[in-house]
Amino acid sequence: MSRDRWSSVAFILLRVAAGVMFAMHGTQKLLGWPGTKAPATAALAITAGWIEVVTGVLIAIGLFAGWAAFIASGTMAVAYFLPHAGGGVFPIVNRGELAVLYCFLWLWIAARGARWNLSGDSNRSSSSSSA
Amino acid sequence: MERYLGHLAPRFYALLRIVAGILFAMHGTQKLFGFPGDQPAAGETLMVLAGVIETFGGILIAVGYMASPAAFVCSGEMAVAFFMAHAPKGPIPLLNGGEVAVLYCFLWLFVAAHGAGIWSIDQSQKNAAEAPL
Repeated sequence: MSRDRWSSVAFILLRVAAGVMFAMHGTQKLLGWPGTKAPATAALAITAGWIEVVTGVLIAIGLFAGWAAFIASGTMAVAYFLPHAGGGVFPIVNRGELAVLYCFLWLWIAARGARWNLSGDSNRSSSSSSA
Repeated sequence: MERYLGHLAPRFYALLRIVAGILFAMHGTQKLFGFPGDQPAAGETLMVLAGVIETFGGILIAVGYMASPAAFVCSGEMAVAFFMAHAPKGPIPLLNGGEVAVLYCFLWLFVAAHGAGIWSIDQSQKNAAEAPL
């Protein structure tokens, strides 16, 4: 396979895995699955749960992924500063590492775009210098 | 959204690569030096090896020097880490503590396939080769 093709496949794997896991964070808050904690009751947590489920699924299937990722990125930025940044400056210590990673990942995907079909333009770099 | 932000995509990719590379390297320094955080440095050989891979791999990726091979090694290390340390506790990454490992694994696989992009030593070497001073 050409280098471009490897890059497209790797991008799809990354996008689908991250989107599915992100959506699972939402289902944890809304349904208590996966895991054993009860579903969230606070309004902020329920809102976050819905955002995570909807945007995560949209990104994973590549539908309106740019918009979904932009919203998800903002959600993660808020999520980082609300509960995490108070615990110290390093995300690896204040347990905000996931929020930071997701935030930057979604911001890039928001700009790059992602389509559901393998041959979609947005799954592959349009030029050698773009990402 | 791609229409409004599309021209920024290479910069956001570089930001992601640099931030994730630094965070990844911090996992390594935690194992080697106990910093950041307050847990002691690792003693087992396997953890020290993981720490070395993470520290140097993370730095190489963050500065974008030999980013593709470094990312490929780091991706493999994450896959090994997931199956050794997390998968025995169950298949779902959110529950077995392996979500970060999965994310890094796929992210570094993409960086290995795509390259470092802009704001990297690899890119400045490419630029110098194409248009030498």
